[in-house]
Amino acid sequence: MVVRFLIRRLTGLIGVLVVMSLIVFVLQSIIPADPARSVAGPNAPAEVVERIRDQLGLNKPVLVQYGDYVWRLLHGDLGTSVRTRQPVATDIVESAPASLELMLAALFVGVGMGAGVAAFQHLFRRAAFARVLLLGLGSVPIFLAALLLIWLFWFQLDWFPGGGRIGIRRFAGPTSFMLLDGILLGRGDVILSALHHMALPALTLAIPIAVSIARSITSALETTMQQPFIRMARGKGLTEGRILWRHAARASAAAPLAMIGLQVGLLFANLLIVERVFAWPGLGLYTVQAFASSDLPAVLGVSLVFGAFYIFVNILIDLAQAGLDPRVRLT
Amino acid sequence: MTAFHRMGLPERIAFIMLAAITLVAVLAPWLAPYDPYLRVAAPFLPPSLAHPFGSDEIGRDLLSRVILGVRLTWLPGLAIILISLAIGALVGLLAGAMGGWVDMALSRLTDLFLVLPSTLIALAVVAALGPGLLNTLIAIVIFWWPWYARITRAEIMAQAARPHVEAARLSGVSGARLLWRYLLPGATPTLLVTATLDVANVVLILSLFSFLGLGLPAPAPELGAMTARTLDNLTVQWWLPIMPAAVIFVLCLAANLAGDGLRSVMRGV
Amino acid sequence: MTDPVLSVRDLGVTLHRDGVANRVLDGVSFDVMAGGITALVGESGSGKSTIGLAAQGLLAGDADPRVTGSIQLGGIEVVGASAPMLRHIRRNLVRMVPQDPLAALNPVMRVGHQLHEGAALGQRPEDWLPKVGLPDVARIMPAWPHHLSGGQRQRVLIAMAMMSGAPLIVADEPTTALDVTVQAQILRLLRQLATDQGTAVLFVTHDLGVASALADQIVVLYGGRVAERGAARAVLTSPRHPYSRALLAARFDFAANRARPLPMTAGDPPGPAAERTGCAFAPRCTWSIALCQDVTPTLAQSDAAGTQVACHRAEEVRTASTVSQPNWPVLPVQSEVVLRLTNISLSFGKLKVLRDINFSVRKGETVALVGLSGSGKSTVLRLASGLLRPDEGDIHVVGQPQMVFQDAMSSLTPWLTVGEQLAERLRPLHLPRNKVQQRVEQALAEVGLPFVTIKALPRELSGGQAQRVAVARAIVVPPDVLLCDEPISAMDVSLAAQTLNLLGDVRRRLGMAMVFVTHDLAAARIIADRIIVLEGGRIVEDGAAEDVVAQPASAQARDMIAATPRLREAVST
Repeated sequence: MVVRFLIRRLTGLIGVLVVMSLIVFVLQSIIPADPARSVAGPNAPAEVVERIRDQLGLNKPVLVQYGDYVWRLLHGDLGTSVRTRQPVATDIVESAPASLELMLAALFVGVGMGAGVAAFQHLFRRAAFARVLLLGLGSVPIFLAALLLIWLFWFQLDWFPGGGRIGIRRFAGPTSFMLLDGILLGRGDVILSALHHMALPALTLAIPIAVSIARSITSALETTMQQPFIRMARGKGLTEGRILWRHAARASAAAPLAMIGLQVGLLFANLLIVERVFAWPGLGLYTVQAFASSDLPAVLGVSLVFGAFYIFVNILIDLAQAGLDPRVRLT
Repeated sequence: MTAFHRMGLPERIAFIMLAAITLVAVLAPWLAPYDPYLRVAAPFLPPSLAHPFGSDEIGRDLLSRVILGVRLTWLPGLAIILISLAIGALVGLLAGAMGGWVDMALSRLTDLFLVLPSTLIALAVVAALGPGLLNTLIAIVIFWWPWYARITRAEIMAQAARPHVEAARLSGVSGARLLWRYLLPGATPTLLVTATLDVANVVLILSLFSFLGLGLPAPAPELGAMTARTLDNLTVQWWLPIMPAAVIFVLCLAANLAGDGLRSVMRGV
Repeated sequence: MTDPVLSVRDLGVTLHRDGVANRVLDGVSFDVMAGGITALVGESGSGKSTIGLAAQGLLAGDADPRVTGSIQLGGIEVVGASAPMLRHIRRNLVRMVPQDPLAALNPVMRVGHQLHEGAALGQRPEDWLPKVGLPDVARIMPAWPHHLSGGQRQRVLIAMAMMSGAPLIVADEPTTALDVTVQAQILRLLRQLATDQGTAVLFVTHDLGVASALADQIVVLYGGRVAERGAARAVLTSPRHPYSRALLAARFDFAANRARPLPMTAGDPPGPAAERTGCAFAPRCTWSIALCQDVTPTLAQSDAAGTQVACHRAEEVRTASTVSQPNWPVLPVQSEVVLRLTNISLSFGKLKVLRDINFSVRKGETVALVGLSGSGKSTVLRLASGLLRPDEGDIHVVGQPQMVFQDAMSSLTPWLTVGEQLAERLRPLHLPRNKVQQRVEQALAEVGLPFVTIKALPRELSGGQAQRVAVARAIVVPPDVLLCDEPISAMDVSLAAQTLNLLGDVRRRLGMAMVFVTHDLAAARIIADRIIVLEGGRIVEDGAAEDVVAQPASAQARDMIAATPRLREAVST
């Protein structure tokens, strides 16, 4: 059953990728901004622009262009960045580890904080306080959060660095995941510096995740705790802690899990802002720079990669939900 | 409107704030004390009585620019919600009520939109079509209405299976009258709550677009862009990046409080 | 039978909803003896379930419960007990067998795990499952709750309660969610286990028949106060409180007189009242005098056997004879067929729901469709109404049949007034506005509702009023065929009797044919001329009502008749 489910979802994934490639391609063909012109510069003569246009394959018929595009996609070729003049795939491989590291840290911290707030709210019955806190935090634009954190923890207190990924010059590890490299090489200074630099951006990204996770856990718990089987468990003389962990937690996990899936989608967008504000050399910063220079192949390449990642994460979440609730059937 | 009276004081204040914000947005050109595009003071003035939010890098009054900024964020935000709501409710109503292949096709379409990483694609769309308010509006609406379609459809289907709708059908009610009088009212509370809460989400996303330079071009006083352009002034002239961002926070908080209050009132019914 | 296991003294409970205080229980006192079965009988809203919850200290916290008086379990005080003490009480002294077995089992925890949890030391689920009639231990233990049938789930829950070794079990309407045949098995099991293990049972029910089949002692609750309390036999044979008397009279079984309306108590059970003075039952009581309105009667000894009753006129009530009502007018069944189903078959996906259904209903005739859940009886009704289409076969029907649904409240549109909903049926007639108003008021009058109901929204109605509105909507333009889908299945006795009388009256006055779906053969016998018994989607019996009950031809009908709890027989043995 699981195998059939996976096959179905993977075919679905391919379908979605086809749709995304179509969207991306259509966007490419109707762009008003001229990448050839932006490569050549505003003062380049028309012949130069035309030559670059030819090099970029912009003069072929639309259908052929799409065919070429898909063909190249299948070979892992996402096109050439107009800005860096490198293959987009190479650019992405270079900057993806930094983003992945940051996103995982943010998810970890965000889910942890969210669950913590929800548990606090449940155990200490501070519903009104937690509600106002969550509504407030949920209203903060991500760049305001970033600015306030930088202002306080870097400018005023100087506890954390205000930008960058690591404080050690010319450090290059085997995996490009700073934390992992530090552990692999046994370099305590690398681990510390990486964590130190990661703290503020990860916390910024974690705030919206924590807010929605906390809300979703709270409302799921609220529903579950009113179920007769919870009253039954109380009637057995179990402690509140045991009721929460053994009975309520698993029964209320579905909605928060789905929320994590949704949040991964929003995480990409916030990543752009946070990497821009913290000068974090990842995919987000790369995309922001691509926006600024109308580097469409780069923007679209990153979108495709993120899209695939998003769908992959959501398949994992579906599987987790089915594993937790025997009533969910994988179809 | 008895729902208003059932709300607590904070929620009532939130709704009054929503109304006030909308009023400010509509009347912005007349409310702004100075011309937001002209130099009216020395650059980098800190907040004072004459210029409550201070002045910016070329001496424009920040308060006037922020008031205009509210207009440029709030009105498109409301427009996005209303247009999405109209499209979504219509599609959801059709899918839920007609069933069969119409439902199938519409559900597949909304599902497709929902599995795509929407904010990201909207960003890509705007980046490709060129920055601008109209493009942003269209890009967000395209990815926003499927949520409302899904909610409407689910509520309509739930209503349609309930005995009171069956009783109405046995009473001879059918067609548009059944939709309008018996099915749609069942979906309105959920739609209303979601839409109110979504005003905050849309404002956040709009400010995100504007921050990334995908909104109106430079001199326009967009809140996100104002923060983005003055990031480096944070440690010296903090009011330049913080004030516009703080106003976005206030807008979202009002919408969130109002939506949350509406939800608890609707649930209490 | 020495010390009481449970001793309730002057128990008062106030719950809050939306800031409004609601006195749910007031001055309730009774004892449950070791090994004895006490039935707590009352209508919904009488506070009967609250007592069981209060005994476990499980009143919902968000209702801000205020408890006064005393509840002692084996000498330990529950009211005001500390959290650790409450846990000790729940673990060792009292357990619950709940109303809805599916909801009471954690859907994401295996049955075996739930059985282990909270069991007393040395008690093994493997030993207990066979004792509750589930010998297939290897299958039940690793199963998820949704893999078991309703009866199996309730057996699991009984095993769970028994495994605690608690001296008291609170069974809160444990059989209302089950079919009548399963209900009888579960009641037998409870009785037998209580005797074998010496466990006392506090059995909460609205059904005097069930109570009589089980209990040694009966406590009748009305409006949060004890109306009458005594040995089961005494209460059932010579009730001293007008309410017990009314409950007994309205309780219909196979011996009830079907030629005339059921004796019943008019009006609705008391709503969430603030502090009241006088007897709660006075507004509905035919014995009520001025004293009853002003002075709350206290529970007083009424005979040597220890029966206690809270009524100013208890002695007169006990000795009074029943007033009998006049018979129904006879409505002749005519030859014209108004509904005919021919060779009907229906499947939902792979599941065959109905096979080869054939029957017809004639003008003026009432036919009851009887069966267990899953027999397809309600599906037949939906086919007849046209809400559903058959895979095969023909349906011939005169006019558009109207339907009275199982849950009257949910069959009313929450955001439309009663008047607007009733007027929908008059729209095709294109009547002028005042004519419409007149017809709606007339229909409301037919079902005994005041004309102001026309402006009411459904949430302003009581359960009984909602039921009447639903009937009024069906008859505002009298249909040739009236379909009733288990309209009394979720009702207390007095409301069920009111509804049966209303339907019996309306259909006779308007000369309608009626199809009445029910799982209750006794109700079918009272309302219908003919009974059709369904089993597994087939008709297994079709005959005159009296004949089907007196000489059932099908095994299904025989099982159902044997399983129906009977009041008078239980009392006489």
